[in-house]
Formats: sequence, structure tokens, C-alpha cells
Amino acid sequence: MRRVALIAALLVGCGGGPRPSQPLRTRLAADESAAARERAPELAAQVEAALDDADAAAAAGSPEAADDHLTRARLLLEAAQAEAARIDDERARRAVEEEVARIRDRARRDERARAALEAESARLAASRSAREEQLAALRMAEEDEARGGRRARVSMEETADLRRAAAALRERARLMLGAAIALGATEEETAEATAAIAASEEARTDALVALREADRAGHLALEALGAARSRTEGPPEGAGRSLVEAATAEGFTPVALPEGAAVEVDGLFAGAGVVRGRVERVAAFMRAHPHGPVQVQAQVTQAGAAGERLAARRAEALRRALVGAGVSAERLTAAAIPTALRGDEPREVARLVFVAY
Amino acid sequence: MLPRALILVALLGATSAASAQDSPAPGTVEARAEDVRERVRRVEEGRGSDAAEDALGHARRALGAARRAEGAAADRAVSIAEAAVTLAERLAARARARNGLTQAREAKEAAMRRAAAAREALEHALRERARLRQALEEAAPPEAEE
Repeated sequence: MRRVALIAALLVGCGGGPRPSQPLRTRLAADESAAARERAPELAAQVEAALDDADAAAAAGSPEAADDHLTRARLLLEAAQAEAARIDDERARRAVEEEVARIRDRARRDERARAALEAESARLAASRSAREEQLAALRMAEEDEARGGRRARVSMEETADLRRAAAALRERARLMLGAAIALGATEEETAEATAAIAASEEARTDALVALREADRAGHLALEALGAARSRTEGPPEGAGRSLVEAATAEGFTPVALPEGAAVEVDGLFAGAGVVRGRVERVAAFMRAHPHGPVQVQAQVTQAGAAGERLAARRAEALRRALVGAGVSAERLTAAAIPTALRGDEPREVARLVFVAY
Repeated sequence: MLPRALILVALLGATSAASAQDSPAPGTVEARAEDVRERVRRVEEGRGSDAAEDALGHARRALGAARRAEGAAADRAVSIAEAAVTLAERLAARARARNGLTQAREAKEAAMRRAAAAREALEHALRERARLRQALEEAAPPEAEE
């Protein structure tokens, strides 16, 4: 038995037969195990030791022991390969994690940049909105200006004021027109002023238009009055001043009006009638100033249409009383002082308008 | 007095001998087998044990063979068990590493999606800012018109 083992050992030692470890040695030396040799050198060394043990056991004639050593070598070789693969996976994982960190950094930078951009965009949008509002306001202002500026901005209260002013101007225009007619103005001369008064009355919904038309009517009526005066033989120069002085001396109140020089007299009325004694003095005053027509007007404190009717009745009563006192009827016309012209504090007064003066 | 002391020394010696018999001497087949059993248990309880199931089975079988064998055969069987549990440990570790790599790749995918979304949002914000700037320049300032 010893002799056989010795011969086998000699055969192996002299390379006389294939070693049982050869396939695993070939595997261990192959490229497939290069990573295992490099990254798990301790295990690779254990593999080689096991293979040596297997060869020794085979040489010693113990194939069962050789198989056990080969099994151990195979397990260790697989362990070395698994270890190498683990190291590769760990390295790959670290590389991926580093890449993930870089990607996340980039994403965070982008997100910060986006947040900054959005903040800037919000500021730009706000600025743009403010600018658009400015431009819109400018456009509106320009449109207002094109429509007539003030009109778009007047308040309800201002509108009411404008309407009252328009009514007053219309009444004044009517009085001047009446004076012009009394002085002999032709229909052609008064037509335009009459049309302007009508236009002012029609423009009730637009106070500015009504006011403008009333104002125009006043100017036109004044022109018509001027034209009629130019054709009429009027009072001598300075007669107007003497009329004022005479009125003051009589205790009357002189008033300068567009339609002529006026004299206001208190205490002429009693109810709807007149006080005769005072009428005589007024009639004498009129006779002293004989040029041109005279408008007899009356004003009462009573408001509304009833006040207007009472004023008209008093004016007519005074006109008749003056005719009765010797004043030429052709020279006189009667009218109530329009409500629009009464002023803030209406009085019980008679007014004589010498339209030629 | 002396016999009592001898009895005490004898008892202490017997106790020490009994303790020595409970844990096998280091380097013996029994001690190595015990060590392998402990390593097997740790692999079984740790993550990645599924990938090491075959190697663990091999180690258990080798331990059984070592228990049945004697002498050199038992020594070789324990050596095989040691190699098998080493393989099991490496396979489990490799499975954990593979799992970590997979998770890292998934994280990378998520990070790339987030980065793509962030870049897209950034480009959109850039376009929006450019649009607003242009609109602002086109809307000439009132002062400039005067």
C-alpha cells in the first residue's frame, strides 16, 4: 500500500498524470476570475491552498479527500467571484449615488433660478399692470377731453347748477329778445336767437349743451338788440347816467341789465293790484325819460308757478295803471321776472327796463 | 483540616474540567463547527439570505457530515462547511450591494425626472420673463410719450 502511494506521488511530482485541481486552476487563472483574483486575493489564496490540498490528497491516493478539497476550492472560488461582484456593485452604487447628488444639485440650482425668475416675472407683471393702468387712465382722460372734458366729470349737483344757469340765461335772452323786438328788431334778426333758445330747451338731458345754447342765445339776442338800437333814434349821450341819478333821487334802485337800464321800485303792489300814489311818481319818472320802449316787470316772493302767475298779473296791472297815468301804451310791455332770474332772495318789487338806454 | 482542603481543591478542579468540556477548545473540529453554525445563523437572519440559500444548505449538509464523520473526514467536512458559509456570506453581501445599486439607479431615475422638470420649468420661466420684458418695452411708459 505504501508503495502504491509513493509511486502515485512520484508520478504526480514528475508530472506523470493529470492533477485533479487542473480544471479549477484553469478557471481561477481565466479572465472570468481576474476580478476575483484582484479584489478578493485572500480568498483566491485559499482557493489555491485548497487545490494544493486536493492535489496532495490525490497524490496520496485519497480521492475522497481530494474531492472534498476540490469542493472546498470550488466554493471558495465562487465566494471570491461573489466578493468581486459585490465590490463592483458597491463601486457602481457609489458612482450612481455621486451622479444622483450631482443631478439633484443641478435640479436644486434650476429650481432656485426658476424661483428667482418667477419672482422677477411677478415684479415685471406688476409693473406692466401698473403701466397698463396708467395708459388706460391716459386713454380715458384723452377720451374725456375729446368728449368735452368737463362733461364726463361733472357731478349730479353740478349738473343741476348747470341746468339752473341755462334756465337763467334763456330767460335773460328772452328779455333781451323782447327788448330788441320792442325796439323794432325784425324777425330775421331775432330768428337765430329764438332758435338757440329752443335748442337750449330741447337739450334737457345734456346740461352743458343747454347751457352753451342758452349762452349763445343771449349773445344773439344782444346782437339783435344792438342792431335794433342802431336804427332807432335813442336818447342823447349821457341820458343813461342822468336816468340813474334821477332814479336814485326818487328813491328808486337803478340796475344795469343787458337789455337796458332798469329801475326797481318797492311798495307799488297791494295784493294783485297797485298803489296809485306810487304809480304817479313812476309815471312822471317815465315821462321824464321818453326814449324807447319800457318793459314792466314784477317779482314776488312766492315761489313756483303760482308766484309766476301773480308776478305776471301784477306786471300787467302796473302796465295798465301807468297807461292810465298817461304813459303811452305802445311804449309798454308787461312780464313777470322769470323765476330763474329772481336771485337767491326774491323781493316784492316792480322793475322798469328802459331798453333804449 | 488538611483532608478538607484537599477535598475543596479537588472539587474546584472538577468544576473547571466540566466548564472546559462545555465549550470546545479553539481550533478543534467542534469549535469550528460551532463557529460555522453561528455564521450560518447570522446569514439566515440578515438581509440577502435568499440569494445565499443554496450555499447555506451546503453548509448545513457539510456540518451534518462533520457530525457523522470522524478524524480527517470530519475536519474536511467542517472545512467544506466553512467554505460554504463564506460563499453564503459573500452572496448575501453581494445581494445587498445589488439591491443598493438598484435603489441608487431608481433614485437616479427620480432625480433625472426632477431635474428634467426643473429644467423645463426654468426654461418656461425664462421664456415668460422674456415675454414680460418685451411686453413692458412695447408698452411705452407715459413719461416717454410726453
